[in-house]
Amino acid sequence: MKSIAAAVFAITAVALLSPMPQPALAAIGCTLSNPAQDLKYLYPDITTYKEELRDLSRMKDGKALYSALKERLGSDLDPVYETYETPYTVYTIFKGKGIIGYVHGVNVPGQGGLIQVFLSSDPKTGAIGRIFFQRLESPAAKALRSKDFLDQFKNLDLADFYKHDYYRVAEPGNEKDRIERIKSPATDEKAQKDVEASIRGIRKNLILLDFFIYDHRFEPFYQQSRAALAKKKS
Amino acid sequence: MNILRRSLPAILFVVCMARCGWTQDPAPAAAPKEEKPADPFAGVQPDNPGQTTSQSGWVKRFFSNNFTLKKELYFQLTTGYKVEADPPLYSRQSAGFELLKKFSTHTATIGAFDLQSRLVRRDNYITVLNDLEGADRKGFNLEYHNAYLDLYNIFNPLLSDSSRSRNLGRFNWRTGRFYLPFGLNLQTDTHGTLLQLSNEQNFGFERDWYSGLYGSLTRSINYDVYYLLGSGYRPQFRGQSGLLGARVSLGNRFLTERGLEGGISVMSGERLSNPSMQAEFPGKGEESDASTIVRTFRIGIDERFTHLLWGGTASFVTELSGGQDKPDAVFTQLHQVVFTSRSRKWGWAGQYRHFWMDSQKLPGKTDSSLIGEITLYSQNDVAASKLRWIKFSMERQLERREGETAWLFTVQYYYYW
Repeated sequence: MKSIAAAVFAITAVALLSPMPQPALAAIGCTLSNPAQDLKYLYPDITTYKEELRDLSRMKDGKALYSALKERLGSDLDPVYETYETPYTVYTIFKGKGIIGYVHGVNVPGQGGLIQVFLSSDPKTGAIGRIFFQRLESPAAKALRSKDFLDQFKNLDLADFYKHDYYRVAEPGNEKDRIERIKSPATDEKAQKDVEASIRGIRKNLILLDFFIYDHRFEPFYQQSRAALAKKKS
Repeated sequence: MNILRRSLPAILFVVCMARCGWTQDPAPAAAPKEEKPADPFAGVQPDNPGQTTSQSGWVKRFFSNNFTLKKELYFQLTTGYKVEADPPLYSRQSAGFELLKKFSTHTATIGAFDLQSRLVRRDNYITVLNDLEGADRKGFNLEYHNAYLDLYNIFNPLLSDSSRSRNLGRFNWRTGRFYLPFGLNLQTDTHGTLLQLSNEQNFGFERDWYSGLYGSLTRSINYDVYYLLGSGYRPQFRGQSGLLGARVSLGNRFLTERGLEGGISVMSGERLSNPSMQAEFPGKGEESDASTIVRTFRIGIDERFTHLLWGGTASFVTELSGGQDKPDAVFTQLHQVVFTSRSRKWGWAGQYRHFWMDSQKLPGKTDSSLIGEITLYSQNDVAASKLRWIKFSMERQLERREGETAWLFTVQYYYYW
């Protein structure tokens, strides 16, 4: 009975020390459930692949990268689905000994819950190859998975998203704004919100890939977009 | 000449007007030109920084590259009405860890090692579904749970590039202790929760020591084929021939595209019985070597369907299996609904489980239970890499093969980070 009392005390102590309704917790990992098959689907010529775990909370400059992510995304990061501790996995795709692509996934919150979007990118240009949703808890799932919608992202890169920040405000309708041209498959407001969440997820994915793999290659476009917008406002 | 002189003012007027742009049909070139802003991105080029290479030593690389160490706290109290324990309060407290290391060459991830261990303290054991193994473990015990090595694409060293491409993900090897390849267990993380699947009740253990192959036959079909020791917790031979387990299941695309998982499993051979799980076993709660060899055959079918529902996500699970523990016929069924709110801060679940065995001593007897639980999460990771929750559950035993039915009430606290 004495040991049970100790156990009760232990549980109570831990429960009290860790109050339940904490708003800003939880991390959601982004790994493929069956990498070999999914990667083969994205890269039919793949011969091998390599997984690399990336965790901002374990990186030397992780905090700075996390706030840089938020800044470049242009919106707050969700306290449940997009925490600082969220681990990411980058898949490097090989054909023989040469790298033919990268695959990476992120989570974003949607109307129904989780939207987990993976994309493949070109190792030289950083442009999007293909996109697929591993988890899509959305009332607009069918529309979001449609080939017509997803094909519009092919060959876009992070520079296009940064340029969009400027064109959207300063020159709406500019033909160089490739993001504005994306046609939404949504038929109602709820679905439209998930389309926007998915596009946000794709942008977030490219930003993280730029941090993890491309060594901030697209940073000049972000800086130029901000500078041009500031100039326009002044 | 006169005509010319008379016309001159008119000509001058027209020329003058034309220069001023006052014509009926003004030429476009003459219109005032709107200044188009210069493209602010003209000339902006992506940076091309040099690749940096890590010069750290192998020890640092070992513990930083693809190395994950998780800690775990798990506390449980169970009480009930008409239970044998005195006082009727079962307590299980544990602290543990799980480490996962993946190994890679320059061009491939070739393997992974997983180890999960807990230091557990138990008092006043009551038969609870999530700790059937604990029946003969009093006081402190250092326990292992997962302990396995995976090798990916094991035939790659023998294959050409085109064959590697064709067979990617097809031949992976697993050796060690992990969930039985029967039912949904391999695809389900049942860490801590009271809602266990069928295997522990069906075979006497939910994990075993085994070796074998797993992978994808096609993008739509996965397979598992293993030889299992059939000894449960401890790897031991006591004359049993072991088990052959095989499972064919739906590929991940069905989960991704339709929220559907499922498969067919077969298990056949000889295993050691778990004496503490025999209804007629007299020495519950005590160390025992009273295992006997059981010739076992099972075939089962299972499914899990996950769908948006009620403002969150609901999954519906069914496992059915039948066969023999020779000469006794066995049939199990399990049905379960699990709901998680969109906020991922709370959820509930319900389960009905039914285990029927036609043994000589207890012909046609059944163990069946109805379980409900409510969970409050403070951390709830989809990939289970970070979890913290408290759970309140209630089990109503509807039928027992032997002994009286009982009500069981449990509180669990779980923290995995």
